[in-house]
Amino acid sequence: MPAPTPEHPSRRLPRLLLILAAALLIARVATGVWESRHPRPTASAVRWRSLPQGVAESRETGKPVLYDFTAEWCGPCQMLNKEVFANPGDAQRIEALFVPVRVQDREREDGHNPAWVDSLQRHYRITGFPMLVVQGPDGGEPVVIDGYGGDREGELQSLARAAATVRTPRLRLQLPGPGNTR
Amino acid sequence: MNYTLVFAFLRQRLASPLRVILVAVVAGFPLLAMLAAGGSLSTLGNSYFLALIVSAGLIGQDVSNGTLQLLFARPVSRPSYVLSRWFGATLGAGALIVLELALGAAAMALHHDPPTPGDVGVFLANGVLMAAGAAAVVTLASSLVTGLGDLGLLLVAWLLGLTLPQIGMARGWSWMVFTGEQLQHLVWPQLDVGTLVSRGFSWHDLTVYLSTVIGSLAIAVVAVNRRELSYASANA
Repeated sequence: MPAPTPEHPSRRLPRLLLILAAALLIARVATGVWESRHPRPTASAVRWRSLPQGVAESRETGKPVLYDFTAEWCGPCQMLNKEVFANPGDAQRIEALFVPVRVQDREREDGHNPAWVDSLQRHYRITGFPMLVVQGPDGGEPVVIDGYGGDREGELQSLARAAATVRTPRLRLQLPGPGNTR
Repeated sequence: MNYTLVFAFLRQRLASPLRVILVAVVAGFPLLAMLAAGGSLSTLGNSYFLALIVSAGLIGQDVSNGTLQLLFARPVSRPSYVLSRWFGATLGAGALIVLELALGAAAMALHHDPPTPGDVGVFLANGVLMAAGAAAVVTLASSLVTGLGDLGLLLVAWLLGLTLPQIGMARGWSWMVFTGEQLQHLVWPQLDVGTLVSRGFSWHDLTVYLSTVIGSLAIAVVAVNRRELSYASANA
């Protein structure tokens, strides 16, 4: 870019930058439309247990149960699944600490939930999604991690703290987390 | 790119005691915690905030204090000025992230738990991408308002990005959810290398990041091109 002179003032139209910005904007829209029509599989890498399996395994191994209260329509839940549960490394860390049980809300889709889902939601006073509840094998007060705001490492740290907390009975701990929806 | 402007920007930032103190607080406390009790690289301060501290007011303050009027009396083009400021901010924040990473890795090694090369690579790549993205967005905001008004603009956009999706979801307005999500992408431009590696490459994630960065810089250049500067004006 030549230096401006009095005949050529400091204003310059950055044609290349504008063309590049426009091309990227078009590419952004096009790839967004493409990926929404051809979604990549974001299958969870966590091996979720059924409720009876999870409770039995928790008693057997002494690991706390991790309940994932989630719903298909909930954006932050999908983000949590995509960024944490679908990540093989994170899934391994989660399975090393917990016995994971997924509790999927179907009220909006089906008009009602299976009885065990309703019962767990009432028991843990679930008011929004996503909500992770860590429950020690001997009962006691659970640790609740409320919401997900996109901080993957923060979420993993909260889970590690929760695993350590439920080993010693204490007051119900409510850990804050943005992005909760209901 | 004008490297004289890049280095002048870095010297200007280093000479600001407030920014040096803020950087020391944001990066220093997590490092001290790691030194005392160990931890992982995620304990370190957020690269976004380091970039924000380095880049806040990067054009607006030049407008407020009259530097821009003087600068454009010299043979410097406006696009070159804007891109040099952005590059300087990215370089400054990138250098802080590298320094923070080196000290954090040393603290972890002292606790006999050094980070793996993979973790170091992902942290560094994410940090530098975040710094470049945040600096671009601050460049855009700073080209529109004077002084440190860019921080206010980003705060408003961030709050809207948080609340609009919630309202949209509650009312079933998908356009509002979409607008909120785009604002989040704008305020917090991020390309998570770890997720790309573990979940497979996504062209959309890449184009969202690149279009935010390049688009912000392009609009900033246009805004600075259109700005009328006058010695007679109080706030130009």
